[in-house]
Amino acid sequence: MWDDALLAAAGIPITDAHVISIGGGLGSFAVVDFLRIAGVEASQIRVLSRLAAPYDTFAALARASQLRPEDRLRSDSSSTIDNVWGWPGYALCEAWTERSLSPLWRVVTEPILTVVAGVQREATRIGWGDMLVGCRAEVVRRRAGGGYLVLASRLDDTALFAVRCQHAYVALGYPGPRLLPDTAALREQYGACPQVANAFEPHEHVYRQLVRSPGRVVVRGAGITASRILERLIHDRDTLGARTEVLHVFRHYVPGPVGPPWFRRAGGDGFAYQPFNFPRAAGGGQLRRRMLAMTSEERALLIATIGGTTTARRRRWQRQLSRARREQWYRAVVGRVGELDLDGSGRLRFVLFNGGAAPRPEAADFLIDATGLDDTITRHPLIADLVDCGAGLNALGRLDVEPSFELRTMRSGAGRLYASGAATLGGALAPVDSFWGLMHAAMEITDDLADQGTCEFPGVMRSLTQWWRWMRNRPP
Amino acid sequence: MTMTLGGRLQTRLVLLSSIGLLWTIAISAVLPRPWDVPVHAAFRITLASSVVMTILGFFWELVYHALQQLRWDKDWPPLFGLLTAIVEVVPVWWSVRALNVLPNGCALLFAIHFTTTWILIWLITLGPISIVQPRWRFEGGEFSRRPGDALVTFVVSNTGMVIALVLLWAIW
Repeated sequence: MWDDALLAAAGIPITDAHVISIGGGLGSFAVVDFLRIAGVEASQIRVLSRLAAPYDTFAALARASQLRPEDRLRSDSSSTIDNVWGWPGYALCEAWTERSLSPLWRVVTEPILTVVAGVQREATRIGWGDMLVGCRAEVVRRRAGGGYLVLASRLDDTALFAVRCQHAYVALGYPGPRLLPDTAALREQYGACPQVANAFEPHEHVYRQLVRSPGRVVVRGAGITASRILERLIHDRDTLGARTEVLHVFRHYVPGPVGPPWFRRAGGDGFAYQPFNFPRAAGGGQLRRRMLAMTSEERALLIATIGGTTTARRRRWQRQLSRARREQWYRAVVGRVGELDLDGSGRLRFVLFNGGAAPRPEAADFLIDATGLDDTITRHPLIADLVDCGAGLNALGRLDVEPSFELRTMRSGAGRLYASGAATLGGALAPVDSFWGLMHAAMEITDDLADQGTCEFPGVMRSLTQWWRWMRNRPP
Repeated sequence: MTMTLGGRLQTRLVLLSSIGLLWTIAISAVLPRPWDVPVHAAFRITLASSVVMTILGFFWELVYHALQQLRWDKDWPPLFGLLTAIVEVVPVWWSVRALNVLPNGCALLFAIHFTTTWILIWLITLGPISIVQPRWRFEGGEFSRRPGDALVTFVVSNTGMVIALVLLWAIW
């Protein structure tokens, strides 16, 4: 616990805000948007972030994982992160803009372009620029006398300053791409090592090289990002004349649907299929109700059953892959890649441990890891420090939050500390790392702050008038 | 839509007793009817079918909830919500006939009232409901988590139902 005198003695200037958001990505955007609509003035909120726009990280990850701006996300049309009411949804807005009814059928996908433009418009409307403080938040500590002190360093001259606040909110997202130990070791040994790429890092050189000369590429992972990578590789074969051969390594191969008739998830060809990263009811229906009543351990078990690595069953991808299998330039194997190394000519060589079969030496030109993002949240120094200071972890090793997304053990007088997003998986809400989840968390947090008297949660009249202001693009 | 059973029942009761009732009162007099059928008979048909639609709906929601268990997502796609009208219209028709409030030649009146009420309520659940109840979609279709919402729900549904029943009684 820190007090003001401690910082003053260290010569660190202190400024004040009522609510602080640590992190300026889409999670923070959702919370700040809800708070502004609930009547908190922009002058009472400060967003501490090194991002210039809330969608920066999202857009960079999307670009690297082969989503072009006009491509569609696996997200519900009413999961409108820039519109807390979810109506009119993306599909209706698109239909209006295009003067066509066809977007109304595409209610389970939304184009990135629309998302970014929507967030930009809403950020301007709520005065995001005035609330944003470009800095790197280092530490958040409880303050003697209630509330919190956040220590941050400026981006330009790294000078330290502190912000004193009543309530704080932490949403830092994933620490970075997940580097598997063999990839990390190879990079340590050979430097940048362009032969191994991570799907969430820029890796255009792989596709360019594969178009220039025929090559063999190994893909690891079976999620939606792996599907995108395969789509790109097949697209380059079909349109740019690449002669790429693909070896797809599955750790767990899903041959068909799994589960009893009342809880059966679709699957086939190695992939587990579901429209979103969790069944919809985990976001606001009966599965969410069940999870509210569960212990942390029970939630972890259920999350393993309903979440995990899944992709969307899209007809285009199904057709592409069945053609690739028929023409024998795509091969799926179950097992793992081991003893990864480079040979004298700079090609990758490795041993394929293929279930019960004897290990087989293989070679390839590139390896693309689509195994997700790093979920060890304590790699964020700020979160590691929170854990050291008493923030609990749940059965999945993430921050243990209440259904209101409060870190109960970090309460400081009348002050509350909240967290949402990827760092809080394992709580009562499963899809925390989705537009829906970020909005849902923002609603719960606003609700809880309304109970503390910080704002007025939109009841019928406030909600109606605020929606009308949103429609006319007037400040809240 | 990801409804819980409680959410289904609440949504049906609240929407039919508020928007559904207002709509019924607004259109009953102008619906096409034979020249010898007085206006109060038209009200009797539409109000009776609204009340029957609500009461039988409680049974239907149990069926839909059971069917929802067979879906991995445990959800109820909007299209299902529209098409179930075809299933529900038959028992409502039988019931209204059994109540002896349906004179000959009023089938069109009944059909227009049922269809328009259904579509109106379906359209409202697709999104506009969130404008006045932003928590509704996050709570599986329930209104009652916070005391303020619960009060609104209670008042709207009960007032609506009482008005419908009193009107029905008055013109019977």
